[in-house]
Amino acid sequence: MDDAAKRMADCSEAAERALIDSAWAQFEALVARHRPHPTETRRSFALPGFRVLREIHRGGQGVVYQAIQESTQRKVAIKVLKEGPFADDSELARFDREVEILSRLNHPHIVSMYDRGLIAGHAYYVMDYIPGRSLDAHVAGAALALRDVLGLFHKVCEAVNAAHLRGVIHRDLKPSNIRIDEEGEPHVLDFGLAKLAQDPNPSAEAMTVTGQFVGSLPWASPEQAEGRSELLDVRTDVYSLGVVLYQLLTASFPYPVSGRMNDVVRNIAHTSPARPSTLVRGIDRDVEIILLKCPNGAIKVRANWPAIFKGT
Amino acid sequence: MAAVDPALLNKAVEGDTAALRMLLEHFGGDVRRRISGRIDKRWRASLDEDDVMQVTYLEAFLHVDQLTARDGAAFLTWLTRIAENAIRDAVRGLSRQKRPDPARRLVAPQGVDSYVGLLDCLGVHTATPSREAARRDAAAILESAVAKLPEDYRTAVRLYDLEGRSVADVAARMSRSVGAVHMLRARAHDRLRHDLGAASQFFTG
Repeated sequence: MDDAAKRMADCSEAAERALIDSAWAQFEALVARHRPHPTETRRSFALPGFRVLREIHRGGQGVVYQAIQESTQRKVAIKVLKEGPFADDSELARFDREVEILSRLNHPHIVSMYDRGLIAGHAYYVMDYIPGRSLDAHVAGAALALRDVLGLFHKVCEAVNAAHLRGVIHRDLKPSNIRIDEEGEPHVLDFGLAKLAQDPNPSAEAMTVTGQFVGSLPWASPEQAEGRSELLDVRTDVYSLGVVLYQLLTASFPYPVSGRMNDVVRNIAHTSPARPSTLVRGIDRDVEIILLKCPNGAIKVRANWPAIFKGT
Repeated sequence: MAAVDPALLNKAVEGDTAALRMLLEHFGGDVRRRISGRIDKRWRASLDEDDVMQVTYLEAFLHVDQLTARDGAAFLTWLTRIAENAIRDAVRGLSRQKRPDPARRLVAPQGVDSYVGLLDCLGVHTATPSREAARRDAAAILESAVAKLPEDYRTAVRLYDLEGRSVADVAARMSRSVGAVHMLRARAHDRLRHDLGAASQFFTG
């Protein structure tokens, strides 16, 4: 390389390093600003055979950590019951039920559980780690064509149907509980609110107090929003899937979901969705018919999704 | 493409950002060569490769948890995909700017309404006992989430979404191109949606 070319190459490398340094400085500043308080650090989790990397989610019941299984170098997620040895019987029973439900499920588009246990009084289970984005972020970011969105959605429906065939109702289906991996494949997550259609443990029904809302309101069926747990069955999930698809195709909800909770519940129960074809172009009549059937207040009207989608 | 030490890759996959930095220095030029020419001539006055590469590097640090590459080729693919997504975000923003939606931004949002507007834009919804409480909630929750953004993302969101400035004004204040502002805003929104959990914080029982 002659001198001029070498100088140019050196300048290019220096310029590239300057860009990396700038990005690095921003990242380091962000980490320094949000470094966990020492008491939070003490709450970090350790499990033999796994190298815990970081906390990735802290919810009402549990904390989820990202980790590497040392024997296989596989990335996993470990969910730990938050209260640890101080968890009461109902919290332990709910966690056990989540584990039992996940252990029944074996489908390429449902997150798999590998192991469970108790360590230092902390109940935990180990599952797939799914890097990637939520379903709605993926669809918006990749600007997918209608056909591709429907193809992706069909896989989600097949996964949910597989759960239903095992007697499992998810009860919290929404875009953030469906992650898309780097290969563009969907994975249904978070069976923390799931129930068994025929629960052998009658006391499990008592976990949901009559009139108590369980789920995520914008995607909840009318019977779910009204806390009528005795009416919840697989069609509850069908309703939620209908709302998710409506949201993916129109970038809006079938009815207003902001405002006072009572108003939202009333909207869910009584407001007819706007026809998707009036909101966006390119939604054909067949898809619109399916779309309007599923977020439908009348339970008996809701269609059998996987079978219908096969024909689309 | 020169070979890379597998130990360095393994460290980066485990979340070692110092190792990741070395990999970015090693492969950055290769990614730049791959994206060279991908920016359509229509947009070159508003977006350049330096803008794309800086956002790419920042995104790489922010998403190191998603890195699973075990060899140099896989790492190069991962990094190139980040750069391509950044270009796509910028072009989408620039295209929308050319064809403004008449229903959007007729009036620049003000005060708490700008927070509510941003939440709507992100697709995040609240249901609290009163509309006024919902607006106050939106402001508090967003302030917390915006504070957790990297500096460039935070500035783009504050100036455009919360203060209602034009893209050109934001670009001038940040000493960046218009295309870069679109990219930064798109990445910031992605991050906010993820952190806010698309309404799950507000409703899950």
